[in-house]
Amino acid sequence: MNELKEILLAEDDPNDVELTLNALEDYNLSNSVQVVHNGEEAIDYLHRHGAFSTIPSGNPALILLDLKMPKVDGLEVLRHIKSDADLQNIPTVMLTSSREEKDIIESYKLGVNAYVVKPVDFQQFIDAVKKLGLFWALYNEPPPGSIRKYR
Amino acid sequence: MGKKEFTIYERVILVQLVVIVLIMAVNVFITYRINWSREISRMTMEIGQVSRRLSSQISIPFWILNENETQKILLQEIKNPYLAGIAIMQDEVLWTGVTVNQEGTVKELSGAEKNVPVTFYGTEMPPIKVFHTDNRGKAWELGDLVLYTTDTPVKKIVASLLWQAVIQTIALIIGLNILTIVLLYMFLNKPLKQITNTARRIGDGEIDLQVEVTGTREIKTLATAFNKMTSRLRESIAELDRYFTNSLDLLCIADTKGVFRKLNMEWESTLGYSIADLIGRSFLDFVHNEDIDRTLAELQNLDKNESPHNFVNRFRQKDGTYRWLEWRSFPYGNIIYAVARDITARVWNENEMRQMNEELEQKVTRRTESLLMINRELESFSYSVSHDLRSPLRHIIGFINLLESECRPVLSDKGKHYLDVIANSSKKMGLLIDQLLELSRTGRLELKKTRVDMNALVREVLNELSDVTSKRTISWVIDDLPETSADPLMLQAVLTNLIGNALKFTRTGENARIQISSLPGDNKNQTVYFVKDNGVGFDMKYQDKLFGVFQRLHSSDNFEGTGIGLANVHRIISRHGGKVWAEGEIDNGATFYFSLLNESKTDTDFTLQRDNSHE
Repeated sequence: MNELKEILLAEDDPNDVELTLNALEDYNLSNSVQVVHNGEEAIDYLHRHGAFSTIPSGNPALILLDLKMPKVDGLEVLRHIKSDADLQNIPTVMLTSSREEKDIIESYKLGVNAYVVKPVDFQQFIDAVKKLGLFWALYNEPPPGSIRKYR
Repeated sequence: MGKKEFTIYERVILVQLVVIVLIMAVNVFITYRINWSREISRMTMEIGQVSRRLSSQISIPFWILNENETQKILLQEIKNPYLAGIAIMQDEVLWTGVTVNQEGTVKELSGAEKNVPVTFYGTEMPPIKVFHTDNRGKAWELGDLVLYTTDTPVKKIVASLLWQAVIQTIALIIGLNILTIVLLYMFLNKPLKQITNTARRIGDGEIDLQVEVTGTREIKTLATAFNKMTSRLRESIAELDRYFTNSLDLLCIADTKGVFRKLNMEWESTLGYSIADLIGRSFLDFVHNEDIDRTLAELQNLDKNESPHNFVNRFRQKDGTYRWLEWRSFPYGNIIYAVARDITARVWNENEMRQMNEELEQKVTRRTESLLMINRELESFSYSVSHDLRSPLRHIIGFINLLESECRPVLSDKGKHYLDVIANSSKKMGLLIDQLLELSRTGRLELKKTRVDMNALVREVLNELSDVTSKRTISWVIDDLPETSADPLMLQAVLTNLIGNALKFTRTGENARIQISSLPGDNKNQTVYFVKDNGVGFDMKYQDKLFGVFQRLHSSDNFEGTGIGLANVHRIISRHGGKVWAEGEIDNGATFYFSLLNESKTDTDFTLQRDNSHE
């Protein structure tokens, strides 16, 4: 039995959420995905604040961050994660439409683990997200203390 | 040089002394030679007469040995100044005699003193025999008469003659000197005094005076030279005066208090005053109030005799307005020579220029700011395109795919066709957006030039395009390419585009042939690379449209494309300072050339030179 590790998906666009979840469905990865809709929620979730205070504590094995989000954007969330001693080891991947060089440079400066541009082509998009999920949620050994779910 | 230099007076006196001594010596010598021998012969003659007379006079008293009588005769003769003593010798023994010593004392020498040795003063003459002839005529030798002579009287006479000669010489020289002085005064001093007076009067300002050319030749020469000098002086004064009068600058002479003493006409024409208005007034009266302190400080500096330098202040005109004057002053004793130039126009021009420059600078700043703003807006626009436009497109494509997989079986054929059209159009739009972003990025990104191995780059591009090439039979001609300096990523985009085009436009024909090669450029730093194909080619009359954005020469039915690729190539090569052009013929292939500068050191970004018509 494969253990599943939790993925946190921070994405404001419901279409993108649906497409991403659709892509992750194939390997039954979608069940382990926690979706938040902006940066603020992402940070709240990671610290179990507000609406998330009842959820048992533990870090996700992977954070997928959109760049442009209302309230607190992806780069700020990334900055928060990488400067917090409890969170900084969580593998964090930018999953974004932006191929802007300054975004890429800034993300790597902040310590992003990967930067993936969402392909416009559906098949390529499905492919990319699937591979991402497979790699980080199944094969990669997350830092100790990550939430594991079992299928 | 320790040798003493003699003044002219010392020389003249020395020479005169030598001449006087020489003349005197000659005079004395000649006087001595003539008079001495004459006096000596006179003395000899007289002594001869005395001795003859004596020998006859004393013959009788000697004969009778009457000593007293003999003494009388001797005393009579001894008065002769040439005689110092007379001795009458009998058998070589003194019988009787007389002597005179140097003091002139006469002493008789008698027979009683015969045995006492007698000293005679003077020169002993040869003895003369004294005879007595008796009545029978027989001569008896009685003894010898010896005379002692002295030349003291000769010496006295000659000495007095010599003195006379000396006095005569001195008198002559004094006389001559007096004569010379008188003559010099008459012929030299008088005309010299006249010239001196004239010179003094010229010095006092009577510049037109001349001296009379009279007197000796030397004086005439001097007077002529003097007149020539004064006329040259007049000429150069007139020359200076012409400059002073006609100068375009304001010239003036003032004292250290700033009071005008002399001004040229320019003061009238520039400032409207008459010269008489200004003379005697201090120029400080006319200086602008705000400039007066600076001007006073400047005057003080002049007092310290500091080197002349330029100074600018405002000077009141007769109509009450001010003009800018630039001064240069030369202090000389208690006088200041000053030159002023009216630089009002220049000052105004400078002010105007400064104002214009300031305005221009402000304009440039505003323009730059607005350009920067536009640039920022463009950047945020492309950022929006990148993110906000792609996202919905991705959703369309995604959900069409989902729709297709969910509902394709239940759709009618028409419905399926519509779905396909929507899917294709969406994909095409995605491609367009991506390429537009690419184009905007090649314009904005910084050029990172390095040495580029073109052969390796071509291999990489071919590798990248292997999806297409592996399915086709293409005869490649790839020559060895020289390396260059460029941004490798951008250059790769160029090659991908050109080789991709070559592949695309040879697709329809058989025996596709693609050549990648190079040529030497116009100069040795330039290399021209080209990609040549034998594809469908193009009509040369449309060649200027090849590199424009969205410009296409082929319909998308035959060859897909967005019309952005070559525009991107053009932009990249332009930014590298190179050129891109193409040759082609319909159905006979096309060749795309691009030139690059092969300079390792230059790192110029040619962004500013790029042709903005393709934006």
